[in-house]
Amino acid sequence: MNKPLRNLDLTTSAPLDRDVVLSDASANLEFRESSSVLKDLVTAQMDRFAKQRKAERIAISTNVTQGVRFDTLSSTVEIPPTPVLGMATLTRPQATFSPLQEWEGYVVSLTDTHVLANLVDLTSEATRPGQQAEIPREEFSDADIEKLSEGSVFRWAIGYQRLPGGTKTRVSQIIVRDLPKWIASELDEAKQRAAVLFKFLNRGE
Amino acid sequence: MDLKPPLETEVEITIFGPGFGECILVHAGFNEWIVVDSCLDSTSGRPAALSHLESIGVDPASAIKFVLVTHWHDDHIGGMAELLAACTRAEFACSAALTQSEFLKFLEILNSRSLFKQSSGASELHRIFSLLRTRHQRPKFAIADRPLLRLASDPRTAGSICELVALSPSDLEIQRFLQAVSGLIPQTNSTKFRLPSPKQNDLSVAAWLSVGPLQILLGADLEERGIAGRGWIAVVGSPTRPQAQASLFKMAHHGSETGHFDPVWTRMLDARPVAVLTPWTLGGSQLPSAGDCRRIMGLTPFAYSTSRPRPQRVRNLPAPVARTLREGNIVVTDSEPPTGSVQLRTSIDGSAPWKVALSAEAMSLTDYLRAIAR
Repeated sequence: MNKPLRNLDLTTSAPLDRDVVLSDASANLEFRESSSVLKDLVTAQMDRFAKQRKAERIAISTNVTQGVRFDTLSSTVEIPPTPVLGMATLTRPQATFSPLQEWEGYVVSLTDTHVLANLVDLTSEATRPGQQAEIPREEFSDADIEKLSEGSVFRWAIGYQRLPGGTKTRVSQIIVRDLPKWIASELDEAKQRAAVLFKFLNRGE
Repeated sequence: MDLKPPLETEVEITIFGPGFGECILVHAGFNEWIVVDSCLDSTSGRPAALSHLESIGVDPASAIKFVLVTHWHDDHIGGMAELLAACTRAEFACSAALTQSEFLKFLEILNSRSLFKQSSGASELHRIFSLLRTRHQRPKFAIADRPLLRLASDPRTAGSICELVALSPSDLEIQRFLQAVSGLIPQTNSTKFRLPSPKQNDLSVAAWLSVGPLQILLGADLEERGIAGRGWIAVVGSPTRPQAQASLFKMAHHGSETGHFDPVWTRMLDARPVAVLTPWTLGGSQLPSAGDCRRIMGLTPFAYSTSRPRPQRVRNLPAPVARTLREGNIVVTDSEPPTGSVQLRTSIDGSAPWKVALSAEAMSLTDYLRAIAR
């Protein structure tokens, strides 16, 4: 019989335009990402830990500074209670992922069988779409397929996952980004900038 | 392709097309140059027009007199901000609709926060407007039948006056576009998105270029959908457009069926004009099709493509990545195969036929059709 698991609510806040560091100290893992995609990373990481039920300690650190706007990021995951052995905390090695190739993609069109997307090669630090892909729908998770539409943005990494026992597996992981929502002040500011630009372009002011 | 600069008394038209994008570089005589649209050179990663001018020893700052953006789609505006920054003495023109309030709101909203790694036509246009504002340089607004440029190149050749006239967009196109853009402006609490590739080319600025007796039709991406007052119907039917016949045609919308309109060939072009297209590939779609090639080859024997038809699978991926793609039946192709170009030269007095030079990637449309069949 499985022991009951306790819930860990993980909530952090960070300015939208700041990098956030998500680290698992016990596994020496660290992700640095913009906070707008942190939720995806947190969810993926927690799911992996929950499945393996080996997570002992999860540390979240951010470089939070005072910002005007904040996204609230929240994820809930079940993890097993930490066994206490004397004064020491037992830590176990975790799976690691070494990407060989990473892309950012945006969906150009969808067919019954494929997702057609433009890709930016993040591995070579490109900023323009230099490749196009025809990806079978089954490469996406069921949840992500539901979210896909033209203009959807995803991260795609292909690389090696190394399990604690030494097993090395080649994996392809696609995560569709949950994009944030527009807030009134952002739209108002953009409209004000547009008014200034309009005056210049049309009246030279 | 000739890598020597043209003579002062030569007109040179170089059409670049790497498979996704196009750029037209015009030498109008006497070291005065015009650029229409921009794409990136696959070798240098820089705007194709800039790379070419530098390779033949021409200073863009002093030589380029005019820059036109026919529309704001990714494949016509790549690297345009960098190009314009180098053209310190050039006038700039774009569709009048792109300077209207509704579109500027849309543009500012799209660029209000960088959510994505990928740049887009919208972000490039935003950089262009920012540059113009820094320079206190207002653009010219292109609209159907409006003269955009007049260069009286050299007093020794009175007949070599260069004129560029916009043939589109029509008032109706602009009105319709602005209505459509209003509907795209997001509301509070709606989810942010990356602008999908716009499918409408309604705002494309087709243009008529004349240099002395030479007449050239630049078709941009203007399409024809059989609606009065719009597209090629509006252009051909305009009583105020230039009424000559062109000997050179940069074919509209990559030679596609939607860019084709028979009266353009019968009323605006010579009987057997030189016709050049830039191919286009995106997300599995490709232009021109085999049918498009056959149609064009039935209209003129002098048809060329700036680039080969099919993008190649991406090379130089790590072997495990290539294996993963192969096992997953995933196709990843270069969206911008090597940049090719078709270069045309003739004397400014029009006394000689166009001399055509093809880069290694360019080919006749006959060869292009053969390559599709393979």
